[in-house]
Amino acid sequence: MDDRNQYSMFLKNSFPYLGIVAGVGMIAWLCHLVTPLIGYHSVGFVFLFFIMVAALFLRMGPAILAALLSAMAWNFFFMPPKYTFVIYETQDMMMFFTYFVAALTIGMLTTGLKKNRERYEKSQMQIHFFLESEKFHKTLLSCVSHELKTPLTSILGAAMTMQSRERHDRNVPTENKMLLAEIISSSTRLNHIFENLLDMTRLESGFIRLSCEWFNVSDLVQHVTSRLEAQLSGHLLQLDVPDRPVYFFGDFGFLEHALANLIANAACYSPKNSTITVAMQKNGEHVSISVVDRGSGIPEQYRNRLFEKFFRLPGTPSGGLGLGLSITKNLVELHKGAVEFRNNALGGSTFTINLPYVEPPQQVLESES
Amino acid sequence: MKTKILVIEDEDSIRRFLKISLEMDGYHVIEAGGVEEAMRLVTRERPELVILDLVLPDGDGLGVLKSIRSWSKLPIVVLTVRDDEQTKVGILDAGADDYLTKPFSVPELLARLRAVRRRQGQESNGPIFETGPLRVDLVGHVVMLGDEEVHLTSTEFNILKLLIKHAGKVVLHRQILKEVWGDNCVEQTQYIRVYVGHLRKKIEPRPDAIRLIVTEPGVGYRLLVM
Repeated sequence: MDDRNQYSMFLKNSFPYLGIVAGVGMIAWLCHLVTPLIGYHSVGFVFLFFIMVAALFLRMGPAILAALLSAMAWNFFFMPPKYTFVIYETQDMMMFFTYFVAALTIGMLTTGLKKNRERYEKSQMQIHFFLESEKFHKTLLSCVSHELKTPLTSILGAAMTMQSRERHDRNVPTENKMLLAEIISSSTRLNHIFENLLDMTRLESGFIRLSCEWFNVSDLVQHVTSRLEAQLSGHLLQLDVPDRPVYFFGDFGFLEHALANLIANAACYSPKNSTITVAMQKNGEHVSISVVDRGSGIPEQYRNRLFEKFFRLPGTPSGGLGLGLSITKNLVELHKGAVEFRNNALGGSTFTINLPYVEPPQQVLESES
Repeated sequence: MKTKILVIEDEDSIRRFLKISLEMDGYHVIEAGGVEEAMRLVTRERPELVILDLVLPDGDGLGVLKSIRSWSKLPIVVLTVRDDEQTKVGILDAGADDYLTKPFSVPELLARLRAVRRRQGQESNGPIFETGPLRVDLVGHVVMLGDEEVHLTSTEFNILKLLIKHAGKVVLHRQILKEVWGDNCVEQTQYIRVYVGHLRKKIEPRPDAIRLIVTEPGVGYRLLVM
């Protein structure tokens, strides 16, 4: 079966070449009939036209064959002395030589033109596809954004207003107040899930733009840990950052989000009152930020699936869409960095963001008083 | 006299809880569900404060904002679903005093309204500015944090001065650039955070210190008025 396929492939590939041979032969015969009328010099033009047509419809190989074969045919069948490859007249020699160069050039130029046209059409198609995709994603983002966030605004707004009214009202049963707190807490969680989903869509669409600026990475760590104070309230937080500033050029907001996901995970998947350590250091070519938790670690069989979209560790309480690590990985890679995972010897996991270190410009170093 | 506030919002459910929480906070609430109704009520009722949603059924909230701004300094707080930088900068550029992205916290909205009203009441700032533990003598260039003096570089002081000038309001990156480095320094945007970081370290020295400078991601910074 394979042999038959190879044979038919061979036939398919050699078809253009056979066609050229047949074409040259046919034109030679036709020209032979009309040579008394047009003279043997003009036969060259007919062949040139044939080469151009061949180049337009076939590839470079057959076009060059057409040039070579037609030159030989013209020489052999038409130039005196006929039926030899010898050329007596110097003028004929010049004409032949010029023809040869012209034939090759036309052949190559025409195939080149054809290739360019194909490339242009392909890129036009890609541009069209890209624009349609961008339109789709933009519509998705704005539509989903608006339609999901509006009712959520009402739920949170109404619940918070109720909470303010009933906070100091002793006639309202404690259970009601607890239920109201539940509504607010769950709605806030829902909002975080929407945010993650929208971020994922933005990252997938490829239309993310980094707004880069220089910043002290210690500031980033401190900013994120203080923003997540509520989520970290049930744990002991240990910060380990150097005294001297370590500067990085990147999108503060994105890296903040990337780090926040790691810390939120650590808080979610480690027991209450356990320690979470966030350490930052510069070592040679990298700036690393690691988040260490004392949870139960990640079982061996799931370790290579951690950064998959929507992957959640089986057996863990529900808490999200499983997009956190995937988003973190994406955001860090946008900065040409990488995220690593390691199981701790003493139990728990360590997730590390490694970013490429670049020496900051003089102005940044001099900004310190 | 209760402060008259006009709420321009097309979603009934949002208008309902806004009306209840605003009335609880002592406001007299007037509602508008669209551009036409809003423009009519703004001129007829003469509210002292406006809450405006960007997305309205019969027109564009930004257009309403610009229209009101063209003849009034009335404080306007904008509500928007979109939290991208471009939208936020556009809102502030068009003349809004502040903005909140949905879903927002009601206490936060009420606090912002209070801050906007307070700013409205203060036409001129004296030479001394105080907020929380921070006390700044703008003329004498002395900065005190509690009992201790804080030494700032001239750049840090200029940034602080600008934040104080617009205390409570978002100061755009662009404004910081122009004020501190002059008109032609577009590339300096990349360094603003570094300078603000140094300034922050000095006026918020401890990890549990009050956050006086709030970052509005991608947009600018604001100094909290306590």
